[in-house]
Amino acid sequence: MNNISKRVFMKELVSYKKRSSTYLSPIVFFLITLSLYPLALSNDPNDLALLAPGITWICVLLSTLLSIQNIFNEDYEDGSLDIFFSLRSTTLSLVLIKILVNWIFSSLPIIILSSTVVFLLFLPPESLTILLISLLLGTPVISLFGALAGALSLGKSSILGPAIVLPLSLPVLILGTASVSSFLNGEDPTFYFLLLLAIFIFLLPLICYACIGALRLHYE
Amino acid sequence: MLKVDNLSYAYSDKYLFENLGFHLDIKTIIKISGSNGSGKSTFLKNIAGILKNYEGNIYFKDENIKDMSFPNIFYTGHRNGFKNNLTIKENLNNDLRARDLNLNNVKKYFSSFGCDISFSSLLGNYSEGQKKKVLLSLLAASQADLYVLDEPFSNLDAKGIDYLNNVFEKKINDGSSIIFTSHENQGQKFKEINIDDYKNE
Amino acid sequence: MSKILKKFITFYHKLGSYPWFYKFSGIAIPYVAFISLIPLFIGLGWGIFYSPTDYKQGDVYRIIYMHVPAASVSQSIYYTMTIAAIVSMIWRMKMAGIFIKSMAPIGASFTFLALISGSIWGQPTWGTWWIWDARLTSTLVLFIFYIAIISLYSSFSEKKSADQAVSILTLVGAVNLPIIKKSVDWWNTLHQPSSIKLTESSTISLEMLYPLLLSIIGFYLIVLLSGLMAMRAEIAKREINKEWFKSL
Repeated sequence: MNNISKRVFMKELVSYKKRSSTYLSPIVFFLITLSLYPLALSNDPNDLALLAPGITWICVLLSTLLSIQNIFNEDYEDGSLDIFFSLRSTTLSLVLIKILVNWIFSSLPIIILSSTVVFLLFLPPESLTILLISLLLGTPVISLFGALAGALSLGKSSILGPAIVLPLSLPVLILGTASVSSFLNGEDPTFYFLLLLAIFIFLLPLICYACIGALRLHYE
Repeated sequence: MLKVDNLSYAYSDKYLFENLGFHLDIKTIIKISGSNGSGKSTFLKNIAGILKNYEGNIYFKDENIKDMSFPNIFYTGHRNGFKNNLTIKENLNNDLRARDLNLNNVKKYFSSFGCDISFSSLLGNYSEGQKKKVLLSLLAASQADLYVLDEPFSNLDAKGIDYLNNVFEKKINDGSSIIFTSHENQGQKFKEINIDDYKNE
Repeated sequence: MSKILKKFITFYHKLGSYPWFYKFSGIAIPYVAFISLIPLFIGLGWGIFYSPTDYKQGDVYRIIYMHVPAASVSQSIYYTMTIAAIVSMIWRMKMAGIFIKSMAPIGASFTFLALISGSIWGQPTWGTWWIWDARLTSTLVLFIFYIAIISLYSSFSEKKSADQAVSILTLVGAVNLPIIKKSVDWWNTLHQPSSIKLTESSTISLEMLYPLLLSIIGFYLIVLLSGLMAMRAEIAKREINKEWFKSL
């Protein structure tokens, strides 16, 4: 069991390392969308500082979605999933590992990169920690939804991913941005962090099993 | 070793095959033949556990295979999870089926298959036939109780076919069993089951 | 007691059989159509032509005879789909999949109607077509959910798998909708607090309430009618090559 999980993990690591596009394109996408907002809205530092948490969150949300909605597609098309099922291991470990590795390679760099909003969007530097914590707590939830959307629309690259993930992600977006704005208003953001964490813990088993069910449906 | 009991599989409410049954003993080979689209690959996927919504039962070592975890079965399909953007070595090292794989062993089989390629080059650089030989070398170097092979002889040159027959013999002598599909004629060498016989028209 | 239970179980089994449902719905549809038209016509006619004018909003308030029933059924349809999704996942009942597939477009239509009638009502009353308040936003999300469910069907070639996938999505949506609703509650609302309270005494006058209740009943019956028709059509579509269907 552990042996196979380890193999799946190593294989994921190797394939992510080899395919630089999987982690570079979300970064490029993130930076580009981030720079669109000042161009489209206003370059006034005061306006931008006000909007910075929301803009950052939207950009992170979209780039995470971009990278995760196809996580099962390649494995489905090249037969890796067939081989995995032929081992009759628990699919749970596969789903968890794939989501985890995707998060490490696609979401984590973006979260680190979002520190730059202090300069780019004039986010007050003291609230950066709050923003980063909210992103660390919120992006795993988005990854979960993205994986589910990917498992449901396996083998098709359709508009379906965003249509499923974005409405589901509304609470995360609201709580994430609310935590930063509440901090800027002098309130304690812990309440929002706890809610984000609660959502993650509540959804983790639910979405994982939904993912397994959805993957299995393509093998019937 | 493997007992298939009254197996039926339906896709879109239409049965591909019905009441398929046979017994595969230890150290034997069974060839599954049948026309295109008759359900040969589907049947192998039933055994391998990739498609589980079949009717009937499959027993492996007297145990219902549906409830088993990690039976020592080696499956190769039409698609094998090889990634073109990884090197051959990376592909082999990370192959989920290969337990305790000895890469030097694989290398030896490479040359036996008449395949002269370097471990450190990308898999995507090679032709389908060469990829097949990589897969078969992995198979030869692996150790499993049962081999479930979908079209192992296709895409192979004469030398490859020759050596694969050798590998089959060696596997049988080592105590494994093999079930494979083929639409090519190998003569009367193997016990044959024609899946077209289990169609109910 | 056990007799009733037995009857229920046979009914449940019958419900799962295509030929039975096809026959039953064929008989039921004309009656349901007739019965649904009565409260709908009376409710809407009474509400639009005879009920008193609201002293604050004037005649424009009469759109509630469309808006409130539409908003009510748009949510109820999702609840029934959730129940069907559970049935479909646990017992793999084929009819539950047909139910979800048939109800999703109906739910989407009524949610759309609720959104449109709401904004037509909002423009003269509050001076805006749209506002980002909790109720409007969650209705919009509900609408997006219906659309996502409908579009999921296209990514499966096998009907059974599509039904199961849609059940999964419906359930995930049902679990998340309360979270979404709660979280979009952060904004204060321009929207009127709900005027109908079934348990307490109503805050709107009885002359307005009776036609409203009638049209709500009418809307539910129309949903039942369109649901029966859609399910019948879906069965016909799936079973067109079957013996029982050909012998009809």
